[in-house]
Amino acid sequence: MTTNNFQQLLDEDERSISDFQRNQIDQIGGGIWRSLHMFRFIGAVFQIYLPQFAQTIIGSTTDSGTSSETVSYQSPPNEDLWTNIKPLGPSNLRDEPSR
Amino acid sequence: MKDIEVIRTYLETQASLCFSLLYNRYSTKIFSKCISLLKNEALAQDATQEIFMKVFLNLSRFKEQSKFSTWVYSITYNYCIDYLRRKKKISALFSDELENAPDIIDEVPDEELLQMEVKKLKVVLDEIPEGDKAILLMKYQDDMSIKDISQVLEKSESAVKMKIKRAKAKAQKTKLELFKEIN
Repeated sequence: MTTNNFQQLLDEDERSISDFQRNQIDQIGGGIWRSLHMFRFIGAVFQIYLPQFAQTIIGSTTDSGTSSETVSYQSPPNEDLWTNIKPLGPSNLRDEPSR
Repeated sequence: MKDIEVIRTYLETQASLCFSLLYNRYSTKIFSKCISLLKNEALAQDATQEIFMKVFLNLSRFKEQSKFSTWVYSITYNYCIDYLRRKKKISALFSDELENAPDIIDEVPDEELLQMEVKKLKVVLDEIPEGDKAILLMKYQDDMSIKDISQVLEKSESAVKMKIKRAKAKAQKTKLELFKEIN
């Protein structure tokens, strides 16, 4: 197969890659392979456990009927601040400028 | 074993041998292309990694409508052009975007470029805008069709034809400027 000068240029560029660079490219390949393995593993875990997890969540809300059965409201620690607010008295009002 | 056979086997078995075969066939080519376009070794390494991750994660989407090499090179150019655009924060990657080139350009015959010595070609390609270089590499190095190039660049086919024409003119002009004493 004949190659043109553009393709020869790519061949030359490939040939000019040093051993050190080749070694680095190999290491990149190793990293990609490990990442792909990891993705497959995570994918498999999700495939197995996600339906169970989803069932757990959906099941817990539908079984109990309302969420109020399990969640109780607790007033925040500073809530009594609101009940202790004193009415705004005349002493707190700014004097109107005299006309 | 042909690329497509390796891909099918890989998709069925996820065998590391198939991964290695494909990676070894294309990794140095992709790395060379990246270093030629990005002009930085560390960036080229990162690019090679990202491109192969994309290739292998999307391998099941490869529809065999084109050669595997064309598909891989498309992803490569896409990545590099996108990176260069982001880096420059402007879309002026091509000579016609950098200057107000006249609409009418004399068509440079393919032979003018294809008969250039490899060393001169390398110098010329390094001088012209990266976008022009990329489009010439797509057309003449990787034999990509106008349709494939238009998909990579997200331009119409007629726009791609015009860009190729301008890139050829730019390369020819650069060659004449750089090597006029020698010629």
